[in-house]
Amino acid sequence: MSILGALASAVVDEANAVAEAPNPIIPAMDEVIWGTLSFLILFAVMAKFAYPGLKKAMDARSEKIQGDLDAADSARSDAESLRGEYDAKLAEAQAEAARIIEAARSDAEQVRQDRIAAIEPEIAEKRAQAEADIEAAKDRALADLRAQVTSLAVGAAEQIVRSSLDEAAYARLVDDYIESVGN
Amino acid sequence: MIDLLAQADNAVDGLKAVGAGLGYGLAAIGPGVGIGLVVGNAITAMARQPESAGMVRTTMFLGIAFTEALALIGFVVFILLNFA
Amino acid sequence: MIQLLYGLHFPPIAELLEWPGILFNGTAFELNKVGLIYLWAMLAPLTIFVLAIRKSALVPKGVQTVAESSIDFVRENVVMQTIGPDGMRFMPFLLSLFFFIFFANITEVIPFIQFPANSRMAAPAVLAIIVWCVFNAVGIKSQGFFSYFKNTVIPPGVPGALLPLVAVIEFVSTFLVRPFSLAVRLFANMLAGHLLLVTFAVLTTALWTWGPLAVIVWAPFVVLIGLTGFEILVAFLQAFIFTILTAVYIGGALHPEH
Repeated sequence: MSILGALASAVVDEANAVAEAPNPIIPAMDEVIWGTLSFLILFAVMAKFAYPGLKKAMDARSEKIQGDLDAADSARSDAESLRGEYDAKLAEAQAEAARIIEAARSDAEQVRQDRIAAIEPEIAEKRAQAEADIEAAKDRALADLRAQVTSLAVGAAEQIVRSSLDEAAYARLVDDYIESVGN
Repeated sequence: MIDLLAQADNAVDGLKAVGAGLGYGLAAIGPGVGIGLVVGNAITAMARQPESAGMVRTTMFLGIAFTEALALIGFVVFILLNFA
Repeated sequence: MIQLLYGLHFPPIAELLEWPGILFNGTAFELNKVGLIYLWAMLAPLTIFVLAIRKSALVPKGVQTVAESSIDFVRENVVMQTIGPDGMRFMPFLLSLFFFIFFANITEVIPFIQFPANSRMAAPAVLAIIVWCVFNAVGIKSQGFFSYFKNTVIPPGVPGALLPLVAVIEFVSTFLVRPFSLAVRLFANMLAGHLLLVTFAVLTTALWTWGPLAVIVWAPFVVLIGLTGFEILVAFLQAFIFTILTAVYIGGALHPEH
């Protein structure tokens, strides 16, 4: 006899001990009853009370969260549309300002042009008058010069004709005349 | 050995035990390989597409459950042979 | 050495699974530990929900978070992934299944209880039968009896010669294998987990009491702790898988594949 023998007899002993025990794969009737009862009660309470109750709370919460989210969303979109409005108004105001500045600038330009236009004939008139003045003075001077040259020539000729025609007297006479003219 | 058999009330009980043990061992081979394949491929799938990991995991458990049933039937045969 | 092996007494499986009655002994309503755990699996989720509704606040905390996140979990991961939005009316049923199975499983790792009620075939079998009735009723109601039967048994696009064989296979897999595998999956997972925990617990105590071997007592103990964590995961996962398979079956009955 060896270890094997001991083991075998142990196994056989145990096999004998359980030979009369019911097969573990066949359900025992009392346990079936209690298991069925327990499960059916659990299912009934779960279906009638527990699950709907908790589901209602969860739904209410998710609804509330959804509502809050929606409210936040709409508030955000409101704010955004308001901002858009303000932006539009600001752009409008800026355009208005630019338009006003442009108008002012063109008005000023207009005034300048008007002034220039208004003053032009005056200037032209003055210039014409000045030119006429200058022309008259020039004419007058020319006339004066011509008269004087004529009178000088006449005077000189007179002198020459009137005096003797010696050399010395002639020279003196020319010198005198020139001197008198120079004065 | 004669001694040993003589000690047993019934040699059939011993044979049943041997058969049950062998049966369960044999029954476990296929599902062992099968579950390995299922889980290995599921891991590959999850690694490739982590975003579908939830679906893959559920399907993996289903596959394991169906494969494992074979091994469990072997286990039941073991119990039936030993205790029926 | 022989003495040691011989002394390692692994309790027979009946000792691990059969419980004496506490109330109503001898009647069909005998209440034992398993029955108590079923009652707990009914009362615990109801307590959570009732507390959550009574203390319902805008910002959930405590028990309300548990209830609401479980609802979200079942909705997102079970209903939406399998049936779609029109599956919301099955939420109470799926929630009940999920909670009932989870709380009957989780007792596996709760100290001093340490027994998963679903390692007894009772609840898994009952639940599987209920699920079978529900998905067939849904199919008959939404498609009518004959077209539901036809859509289920005859999948689209099968060549004529194969049709009888495929029809038989589909019939068996839909109407017989589905409830069976549903029940057996849950039952066998929890029973196997329970046996694993028992094995390592027995090994730990045995090594603890056997003087010289106590130096390696930590080894099965570490495994036991690891397995306990693993079984918490399994308890959750099995509840999830049972629920999602139910949803898949209901979804299949609701929307036939054309």
